[in-house]
Amino acid sequence: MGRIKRGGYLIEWWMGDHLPKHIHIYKDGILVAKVETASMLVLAGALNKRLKKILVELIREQKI
Amino acid sequence: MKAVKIRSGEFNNRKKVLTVYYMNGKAIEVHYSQLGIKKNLGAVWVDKETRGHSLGLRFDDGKEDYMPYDQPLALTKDPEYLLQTHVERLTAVIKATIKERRISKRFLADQLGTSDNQIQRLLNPTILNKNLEQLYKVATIIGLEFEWHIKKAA
Repeated sequence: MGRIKRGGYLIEWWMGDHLPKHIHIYKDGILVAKVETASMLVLAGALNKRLKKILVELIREQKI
Repeated sequence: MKAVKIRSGEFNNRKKVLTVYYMNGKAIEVHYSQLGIKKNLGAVWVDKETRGHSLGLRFDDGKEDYMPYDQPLALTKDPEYLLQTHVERLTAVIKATIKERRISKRFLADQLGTSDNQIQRLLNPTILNKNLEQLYKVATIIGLEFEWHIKKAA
């Protein structure tokens, strides 16, 4: 499954049987950020503290 | 953020091909195997939750999945998409280094003899037409260096 919802954000990554290289993050349908998962490098957009926390949680849970 | 929207999609279970039509006029075909699809498709639709940035897929067993707009572009090595991802990564690394080293954009502008506005443009990932000389100067000032690689396509 290439999509998860958490904290009001929709986080999406490529289909297929692999962990994502990068993720797209949407809020209310707007693309707010694109993040490289291995390094947490913000490729486009920006992350607020809440969103960073959500991503750290998802990485810890090995969801992304 | 520059992201292409999907206009529509169609599938052919016999050929195992999914065709994605983009708002900018591009049409890209991908084989199911490239997407890791092992089942036949029953329906595809443009996803409203991402306002057209994903394609929803329903398989013949009723399960659903979503494909981001950029997956077919990357799989087919679309040159415009590849350039955009390279520029995105490049500007992201420079911006992260600038933040980490607490270097002001004003300082960079002074060093380059240009305006704050030009520095903003240089670090804007949606502007693909970059002044390479200025990018090299910024990289040197913040302690980075460029390495270019080109290889035969796989």
